[in-house]
Amino acid sequence: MSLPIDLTSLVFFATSALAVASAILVVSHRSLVYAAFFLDVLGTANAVFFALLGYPLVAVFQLTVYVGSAVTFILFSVVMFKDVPEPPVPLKEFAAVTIALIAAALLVTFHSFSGIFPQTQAVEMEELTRLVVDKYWFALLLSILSMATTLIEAITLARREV
Amino acid sequence: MPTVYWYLSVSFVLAAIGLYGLVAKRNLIRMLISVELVFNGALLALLSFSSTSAASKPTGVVLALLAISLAAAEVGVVVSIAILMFRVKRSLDVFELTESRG
Amino acid sequence: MLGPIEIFEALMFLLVTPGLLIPLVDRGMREERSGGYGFLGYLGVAVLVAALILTLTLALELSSLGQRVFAFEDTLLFDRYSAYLGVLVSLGTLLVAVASIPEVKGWSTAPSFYSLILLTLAGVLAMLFVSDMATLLSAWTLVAVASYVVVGLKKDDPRSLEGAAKYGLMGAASSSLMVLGIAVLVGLTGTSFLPESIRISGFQMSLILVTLIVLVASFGFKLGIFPFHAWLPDVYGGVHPLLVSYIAGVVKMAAIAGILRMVLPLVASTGPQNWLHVLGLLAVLTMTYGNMVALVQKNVQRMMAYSSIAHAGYLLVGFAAVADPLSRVTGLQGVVLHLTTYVLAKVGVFVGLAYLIRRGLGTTLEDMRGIGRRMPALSLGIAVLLLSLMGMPPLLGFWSKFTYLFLSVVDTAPWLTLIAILNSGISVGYYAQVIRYMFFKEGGGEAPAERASDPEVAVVVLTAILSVVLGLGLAQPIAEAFGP
Repeated sequence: MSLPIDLTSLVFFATSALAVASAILVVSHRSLVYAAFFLDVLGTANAVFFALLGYPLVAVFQLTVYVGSAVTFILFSVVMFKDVPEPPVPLKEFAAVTIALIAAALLVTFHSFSGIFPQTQAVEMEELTRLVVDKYWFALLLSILSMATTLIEAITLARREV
Repeated sequence: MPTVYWYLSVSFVLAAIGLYGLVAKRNLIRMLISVELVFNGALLALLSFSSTSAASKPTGVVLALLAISLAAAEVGVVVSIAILMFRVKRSLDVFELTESRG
Repeated sequence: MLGPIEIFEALMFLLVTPGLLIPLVDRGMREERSGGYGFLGYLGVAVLVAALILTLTLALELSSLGQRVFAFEDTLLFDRYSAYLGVLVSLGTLLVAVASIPEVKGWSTAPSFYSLILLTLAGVLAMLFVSDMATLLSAWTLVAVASYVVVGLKKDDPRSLEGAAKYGLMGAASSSLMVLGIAVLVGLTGTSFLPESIRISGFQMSLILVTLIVLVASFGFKLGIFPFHAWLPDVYGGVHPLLVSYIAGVVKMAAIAGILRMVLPLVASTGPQNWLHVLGLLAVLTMTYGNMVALVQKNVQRMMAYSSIAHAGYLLVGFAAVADPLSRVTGLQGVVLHLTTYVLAKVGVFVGLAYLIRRGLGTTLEDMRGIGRRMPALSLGIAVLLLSLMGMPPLLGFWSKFTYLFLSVVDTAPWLTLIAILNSGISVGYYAQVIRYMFFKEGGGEAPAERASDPEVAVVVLTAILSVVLGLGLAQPIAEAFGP
């Protein structure tokens, strides 16, 4: 992306704020429907990050496959569960503190990356196609097989009839 | 211009919030959504790390595309199972049966 | 003579084709045939026998070749160690398929069962040979999506569904953490290739340790390593034992493969002390927790679930031994031998429990009271398998556990050997309890008698015989022929 430098920072910080806010809402919002909706927002914010880092293809893929199908699937199925009570879990505060400490430790650990600027030029489509077809073809085959397996499971679960 | 560390920071915060949701909630769908938070954080970390050099960027793209399809397939399977479980049990509480079984 | 690459391709083709075609068998077909879906069982068994022969050929060929073979643009690496594990998973799947015939033929989900176990096996075999993170990710996906639903296949059983939901959720958590681990590794090495030893230079130790911990966590979810074990007792202890035998004996190998190919290469970068402390601590916590909780279980199936956690801890002892170049070989030989013990025993015991359920009994200790009189072959088989898990000489479990796994760390970390042996002592308490109930308790007169024609009994007896025969002097040849 060839945004001016100031604009890149501005978009980055605005998107970060949006991403973190929606992440908090995902775990804390009372309604499951809203939690799923904010996951949608988060996925979109992530796509903006990918575009900023110079991965337009991944950004589009994230929007169509992940946000467009997976998260939407969660959102629609959640409508079925809207009256499900959520009982409280003990030791919540303990978990929160532990995980905050883990996050802080990670942030300190990876501080050595603070001087590095991302290489934001996009990967050539042609190069990518060659890489997938020539080098990673077996991984691609296995992924296609996984998709076929998901279809088999759709049949299975439909046939299970509860 | 934000450095790689800034992107990493956001990704770790997202993953940490997701982990909190995974351990502090007991509703299946809420836990799944939290896992997806972790996944989004991980994906952002993957792409930030691989953008540190131009040489590793294509690898990052391939891994990210595979990871997104992985997540989509897993979400599909787990949500389908959850729907079926809800039809049988009328509940999404994954700890309930455990306790009664002792 | 086919080379390793051709054998692997044939193997994939052999497993995937029926795997994708079997679900097309329609419901209409079942109504025409009175035998239910039994014919699919025979088809699955035939395919799996061929797969077992192929993996065996692959392992023997690689063992005599004595070197590693890269394949598929360096995204796969064949070696005799992984090939032997491939033989184990094929054997485990075959045994489960044989035992499943009478039970599964009445399920409306039978075509999916046979299709999914073949596809999962293809995924696990691919997972065993990966040497690139992209292939690892897609093989892992295949295993994951295929195995979640296997857990939920039992009809009219809410616990089976609940188990599937939990298993899927924890699988998704494991995959997300794995993506995080892959992210950090790509960041530190700049490539997706997984060499035999990942050299990371120019970064602090804390970064490398974080990578190690994230990766151990992601595979630990699947293996049931201590802080990530919470789902395991409910799945292994609550779902139909036949499905558990597959999950516990076969699918788990995907996580072992992940550790072998993605975590062990990090040992050179973490340094021996850090490695030993991280993995040793996890091993101690995992086996102690598993054994302690197993002691108080009244349900044999749940007891076996906790015993699975304990055995994940024993395997970690072998992985911890990799820290030192001298103990590395013994440790990894111990892992391969103990996995043999584990797969035979877990598949056998869970199949035995499935048989009890099919004959109208339960899986609690009370249900097993005195069944030694009415089902002598089955009870004797289960007893031998339990003794093998316990580590009773001269069964295979004794050699794999004591002479390889525990002794491997005796020089570098004697404390670990000591704790592991103490743990084995604790485990005698619950294994012996089951044997006592089966043979030395009164009652059980009304239990149905076993029938020699039941495949489950044959599987239990066969696994027991293998545990005995392999223990009679074959442990060392196997370790040397297929060691690292």
